[in-house]
Parts: sequence; C-alpha cells; structure tokens
Amino acid sequence: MGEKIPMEGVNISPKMARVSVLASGADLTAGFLHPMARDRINLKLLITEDRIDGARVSCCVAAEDRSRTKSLIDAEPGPAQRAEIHEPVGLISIFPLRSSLKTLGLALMALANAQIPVHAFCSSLSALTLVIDHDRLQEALAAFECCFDFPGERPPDSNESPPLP
Amino acid sequence: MNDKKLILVVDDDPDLVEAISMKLESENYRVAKAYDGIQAWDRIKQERPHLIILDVMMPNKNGYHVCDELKKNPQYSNITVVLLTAVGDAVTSTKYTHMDGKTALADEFIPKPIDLDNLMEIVKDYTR
Repeated sequence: MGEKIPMEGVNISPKMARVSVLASGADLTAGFLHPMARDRINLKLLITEDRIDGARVSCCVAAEDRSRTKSLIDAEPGPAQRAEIHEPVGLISIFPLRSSLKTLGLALMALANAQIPVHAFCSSLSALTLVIDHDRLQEALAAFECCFDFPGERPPDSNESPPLP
Repeated sequence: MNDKKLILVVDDDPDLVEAISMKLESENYRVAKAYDGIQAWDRIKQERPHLIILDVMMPNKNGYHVCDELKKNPQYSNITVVLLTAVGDAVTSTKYTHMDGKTALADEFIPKPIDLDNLMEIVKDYTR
C-alpha cells in the first residue's frame, strides 16, 4: 500500500432511497421533477442519462420521503411505468476531489476490493459521492481509510439525520 | 512575510467551501477551510484569520455558537465574522433566525443562496 492521500473530510448520509425512473424528456420534467419540487422533496445526487427510449433519471431521497415519492410516481402514468425504488442506500462523500482521477480510481478500487457494490456515483465541484447499500457505509469508510487520510474523528454510524445543534 | 489576508471559510457543504475559496483565491486572499464548528475553532487558534465566513447550520457546533464564543473572547473578538444565514427568510419555525444571528454579534449577515459578488464586496470592505 502506497502513501495515503490526504483528504479534508468524509461525509456519510443517513438512510435514503434511490429512485430511478425512465421517461420521455417532457414526462421527466412535468411528471417527476415538478411534482417532487411541488411537494418539497429534496433530491440528492440527481443523475440523468439520455437513452434511445427516453431519459433515465436517478436520485436519492430521504428514507422518510420514500412513501410520498412513491405516491407521486404512481400518480403519473408516464414515469410510473418504469420506476424503481431501491432502499436503503446511503451516500458516502469524500473531498476535495478537484478532478483527481487518482482519487476516483483509488476510491473505486477500495470499494471493489471490499466487494461493496456501487449503485451510482458522481463528482461535484469538490466532492466525490458514491451511492452504496446503507448497511455497508462503515465498511466503505474503513476501505477508504486504507488509502485516504481523513482528519478528525470517524463520522458516526447514523441511521437518522444528524440532530440540530 | 505574506501580506495576503487570511479568510477562514466554514461550512459543512464542501462544494460551497470550494466555490467561495476559489473566488477568494482569485481575489488574492489566502484561504483556510473548516467543515464544522469544532474544526473552525481549531483553525482560528492555529491561524488567526482576518475574517471568518461562517455558516449557521453545521454539525457538532453551529455557527451561532462559534460566533458567540468568538465575540465574547477578548483574544479573538476583533476578528470579523460574516454569518451565512440560510433559513431566516422563509422559515419561521426554526431556531435559526436572523434574530439569533444578531444576538450572536456577527459583523455581517448574508442570506443563502449566496451572491458571490456581494460576498466579495463585504470581504473587501472589512479587510481594507
């Protein structure tokens, strides 16, 4: 094992549900994203994928919003035809990423070596965020600690949103 | 001697910290970063920033507590604090309000979402 890459931090989410719908472009906005916004359901990690048969959007919602999300999808005939909900999942984010392919490669290798399936991942301005099964978040963190150096204490194993201070 | 002013950016959203840091660095400031209130205090003691851009809602120790402790400590009370208040405008049932911010003795308050140009103007005003 080489020298660990210093990182500034790691975040672990509470339990979430991953929602995936396949719809035409118009359906996606009117039939999925707009109702979610209207019902004030926060989306995490929104990923869109253009396909020949439409567009697939995948996102994560808080576990407590899962039922409302399912109701909204079922109420819309378009997206409901090919919708999937997978739960419980969790997000693990490490930062800073700064477009580092080495960081991305090490993170994916660490999870592969630990045999932890990755459902989705994306990078943002600073962070690399991966969607994995919630009950494997601590394993993923341990795997990351073998190749990344995180400051401070290990994030707690949380099944709920962090309490307001 | 490095005469660039040091700004501490504190927020639990790493993307926001990065965005603000990039803007500050482009304006010739040095930047220190922290992702919660406890880390913020570590940075304050280690590096003594000229100004702190401080989020309110954070884990471990919220921005109001950090600001309150800072302004009541004579050793650090002259450090300028700009509080980022995401919840004061639209939400009234939360404990985080502008009024709490004002009692926390911050020097300036900026609502989220942040207007980076406005933030830079404030930073420049306080670091002249």
